Amino acid sequence: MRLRDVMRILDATVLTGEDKLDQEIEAACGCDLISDLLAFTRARMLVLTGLVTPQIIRAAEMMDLLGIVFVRGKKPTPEIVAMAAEAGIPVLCTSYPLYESAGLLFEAGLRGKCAWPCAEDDGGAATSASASASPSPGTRVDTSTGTDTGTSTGIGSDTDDKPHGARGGSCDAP
Amino acid sequence: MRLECKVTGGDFQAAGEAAAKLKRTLRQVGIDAETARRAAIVAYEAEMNIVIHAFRGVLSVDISPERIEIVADDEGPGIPDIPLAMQEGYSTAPEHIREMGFGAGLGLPNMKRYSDEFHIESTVGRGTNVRMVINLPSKGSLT
Ligand SMILES: Nc1ncnc2c1ncn2[C@@H]1O[C@H](COP(=O)(O)OP(=O)(O)OP(=O)(O)O)[C@@H](O)[C@H]1O
Ligand SMILES: [Mg+2]
Repeated sequence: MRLRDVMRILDATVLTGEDKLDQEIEAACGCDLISDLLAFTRARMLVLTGLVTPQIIRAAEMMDLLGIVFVRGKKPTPEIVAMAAEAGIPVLCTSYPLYESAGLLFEAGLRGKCAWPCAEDDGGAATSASASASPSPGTRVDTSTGTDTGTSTGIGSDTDDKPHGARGGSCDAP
Repeated sequence: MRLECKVTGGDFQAAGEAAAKLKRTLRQVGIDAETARRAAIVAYEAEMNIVIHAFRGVLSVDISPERIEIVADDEGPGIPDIPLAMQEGYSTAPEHIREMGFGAGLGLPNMKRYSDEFHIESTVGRGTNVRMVINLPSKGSLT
């Protein structure tokens, strides 16, 4: 799916990156927590988020993401858009809530690719003794963010979903 | 080649700039995209931990033909229980930090997961030192 298709399906406006609308998106992820994004996404993905901060742009830049969609009608500040433009990351805005945006794209064939990127290949990595509490690799977070799900007809309705309500599992990419 | 950036606690405006600069530099010297991405992620998490949890610090990077070594050294409250802090989901980030999308308690686990070597030392009341190594493909991508 191209970014242009995402734009059409979500009835989205483009704030920056018009020149990149023909880029092919391989998968998508919905994230309202920065570290979730860093943990679960792969390069060349699209992220849907209600988190309108400069940090989401920075994180997307670190991750080589192909685009950001701000959901629920949230509008980034001009500074945020400028930052995205400088980083070369297209920014789209839709009034659909997160859950519906994800559903619409999924229905249209865009899948998620939610996985631990290094789970398979870092098993033998050397670590210091002091860092003994190793997290279990291969763990997949559950998708029960509980956010947005109640707004089935609420285009543009802004459910007051605090990102921290989804501790440890807000990567709701399908 | 060495790169050093000062990081200021609580400065969310500049937060992430050091990691972004590192990523650009790595690409410029010809490091492949995937390795640069891993380095950028661990540097970003380490930088954000200084911004969020410490007073001030330095993010430094040494690039050799074999490896990228990233060190985040800070003055701050330190970490009393490192195994606990390393657990996924453990976070002491306050409400206003969580509202910015941080505080998943995944930063340290991410750093460990994305690096080939991960070392952390901390002294309560003094500060924290995180050292990470990412090995480069053996051909040597530097010219
Ligand atoms: N540089 C530091 N100085 C003091 N405490 C730290 C530092 N880095 C981490 N910690 C402590 O370890 C905990 C876990 O850190 P970690 O990076 O895994 O999660 P987080 O920063 O709370 O959230 P996230 O990184 O997911 O946004 C922190 O909440 C904090 O209590
Ligand atoms: Mg952190």
